[in-house]
Amino acid sequence: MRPTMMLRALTKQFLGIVGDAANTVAKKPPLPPPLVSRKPAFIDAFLYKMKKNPNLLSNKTIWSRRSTILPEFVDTTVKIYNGKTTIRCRITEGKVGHKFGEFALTRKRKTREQANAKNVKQLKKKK
Amino acid sequence: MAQTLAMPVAPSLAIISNSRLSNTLSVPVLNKPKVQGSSIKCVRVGGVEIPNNKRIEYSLQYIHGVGRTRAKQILCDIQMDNKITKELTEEELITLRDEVSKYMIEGDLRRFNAVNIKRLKDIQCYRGIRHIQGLPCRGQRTKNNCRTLKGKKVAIAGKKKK
Repeated sequence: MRPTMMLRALTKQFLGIVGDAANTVAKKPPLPPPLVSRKPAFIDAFLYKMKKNPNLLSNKTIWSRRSTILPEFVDTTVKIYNGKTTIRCRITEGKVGHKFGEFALTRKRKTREQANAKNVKQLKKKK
Repeated sequence: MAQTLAMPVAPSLAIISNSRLSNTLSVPVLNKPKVQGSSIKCVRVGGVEIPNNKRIEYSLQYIHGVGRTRAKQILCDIQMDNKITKELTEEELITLRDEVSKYMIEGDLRRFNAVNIKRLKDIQCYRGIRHIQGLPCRGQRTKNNCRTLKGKKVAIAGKKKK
């Protein structure tokens, strides 16, 4: 289930609970059940094999950043490829439904001071 | 209120014996408290004050979490006409408050959103890191835009157009 779907389902569940409380007073028909995604979450073939035996996933490198994190993968530590190196990441309950690639950034951290120093060097070279 | 009501009675009794022109002057004095009374009254729905001089469909939209669609849905559910807010009776206000309280509005809605953003920050995903850094989360460009989040422009030494 995608995160947006999760949020939508949570919102509808919240409204459903309130609706049920109002149903006892106003006797309105109950709200329809929350929307659940009919399409299964996408995972690559490598992870599909790991789905049956999650212990094999420990310390494995994952190149498939587009695959979804399934509940079977919780409490394992994996290494996610960010295009250059791998980043170690522990899978927790809150990450279910997100993609693997969301937890390994692909951009270098660059602060403003570094950019400023670079410009100063360029100016010195020209002089 | 009692003083303003008591005051014009005595002059009118005294003026009756004098002339009719002064008698008509006492009539506007009686009307003023009523006008002030109706304007002082305010309406609270969902924990917030909503405007008195607008129609109810548009007054409800001042509640955080109620927009155009939900305001119409609320009025449709309770079969209420789109009257001006100050013309509502007390029973109608009670019905309206009960209907509005079924939705997630104001504080509950803000807390719900904050909980979701905190979850993203805790799991350290890309969107959570963007929230922490105060940058846009939906793939917008950041070289020349998103001033609402980044604030006022800061000049960088040595950067000139060539």
